[in-house]
Amino acid sequence: MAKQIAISMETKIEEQLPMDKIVDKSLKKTPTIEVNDAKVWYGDFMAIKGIDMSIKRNTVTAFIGPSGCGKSTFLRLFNRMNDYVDDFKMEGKIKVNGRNIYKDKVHVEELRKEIGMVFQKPNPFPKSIFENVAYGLKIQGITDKKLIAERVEKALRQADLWEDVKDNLKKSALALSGGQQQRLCIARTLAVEPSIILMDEPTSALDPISTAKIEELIFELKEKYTIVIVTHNMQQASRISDYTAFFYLGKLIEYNKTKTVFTNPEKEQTENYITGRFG
Amino acid sequence: MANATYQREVINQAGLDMLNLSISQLEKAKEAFVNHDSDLAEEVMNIENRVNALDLKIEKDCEKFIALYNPVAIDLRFVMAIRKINYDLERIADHAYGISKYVVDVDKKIPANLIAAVEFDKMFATILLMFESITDAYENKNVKAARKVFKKDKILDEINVQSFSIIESEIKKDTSIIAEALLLFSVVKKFERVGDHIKNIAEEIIFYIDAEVLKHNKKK
Repeated sequence: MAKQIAISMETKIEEQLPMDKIVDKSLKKTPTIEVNDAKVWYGDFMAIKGIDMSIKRNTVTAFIGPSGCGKSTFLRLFNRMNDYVDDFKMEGKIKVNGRNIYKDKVHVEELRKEIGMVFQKPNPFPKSIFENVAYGLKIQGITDKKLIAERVEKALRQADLWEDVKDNLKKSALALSGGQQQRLCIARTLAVEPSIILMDEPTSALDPISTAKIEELIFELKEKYTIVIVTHNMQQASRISDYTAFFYLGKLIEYNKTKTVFTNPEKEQTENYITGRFG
Repeated sequence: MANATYQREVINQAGLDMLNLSISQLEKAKEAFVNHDSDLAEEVMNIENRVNALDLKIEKDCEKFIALYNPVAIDLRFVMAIRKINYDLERIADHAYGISKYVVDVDKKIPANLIAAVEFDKMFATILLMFESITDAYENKNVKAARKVFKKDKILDEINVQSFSIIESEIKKDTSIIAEALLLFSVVKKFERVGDHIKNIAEEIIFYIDAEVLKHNKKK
């Protein structure tokens, strides 16, 4: 059933966006992430019940839904974060940039260079600001100090943190404010130059000003990156995303342009959820 | 009842009150005009304050609802629609006030034959049917009822168009009725405008319920 809904939603998105009429050139590009009939179990519990989805390059896609609906599990399929969970089992195909990431030959470390992740709570290492951003590069085996310094500066600038920290790069990252720490984590992700950034409730622990900065950053970053964000904040989803996917009980209920989802959703369940009538 | 649901219901009820008040104002104004009843006309003019107060209350409640509850989807369409419906109802009540002011300011009873010649009663009966349809549409979220008003508005348009030549010929027949004829002509114009406002309200109800935009759409 979920598969049928997802397929029909996909068809509808395509219908709404005939390729020759798309103003936004980035939408003409091929999908970055393609999911076919994804199913996930934790032991006997089926967390994802057969989802198809195609996420386009250089777009921001928001995953919304009540707690336990499977949105974070689904997000974590894209960089194989669920592999560490006991009793995790999955079926289906997930292609990232055209490559099936659940094939045996795929190196998870390589995959995570391609797909960065930002978590709910800022999690800087107990190291200096510079070392935090340089960490991923060093892990990759890059030893050229000049190159590392360049990439660190570039990442900090992209994360809109450079001006705040350029004179204190040796300072402990833990001394930064919550909002700055989260931007540092984004810089750390950007430093290894991924093409996709996954964000799991990246602003839920931040104040409104820090949240606004992260949201502005997301808007700027989508020029170069494909961003998928899980959020419980409906206004955030409507403010920053191009597409919104609503999940419920492990199924993809509706996946559509954000403007459509928040003005005239096709499914009653979506409407009930976003208007707070749910449950 | 959740607070947002309660606030929405408050606005919904105020919208219904405004609808009923505007209908009642126009009915009284019509009666006052046809019967040259200046007492009834003054009553309409006095009640205009209540209309204005309710208009402001609805505006304020809608603003509060948007600011505090961040409505989306059907809730957003509801509050957007109510604001426009409220505007149209307030304009209808303004027309009722204007008609009543004619009765109070101009000491002239309109001859019955003139009223009959322009199909004044048919025009007002059509307006009442249109009011009935939008009340049903508003109260019962009945899109079908809302759609009924589009055809009926055409009847008002036709009567309005024909009224010019009818009144012109009536004046030619009897020049002593010029003032009454012009007065009647301006009330016919007001009724035609009321029809347009009712049509706008129907469009907004359809937008709110079905998310269908009919504004500027000739194929309704």
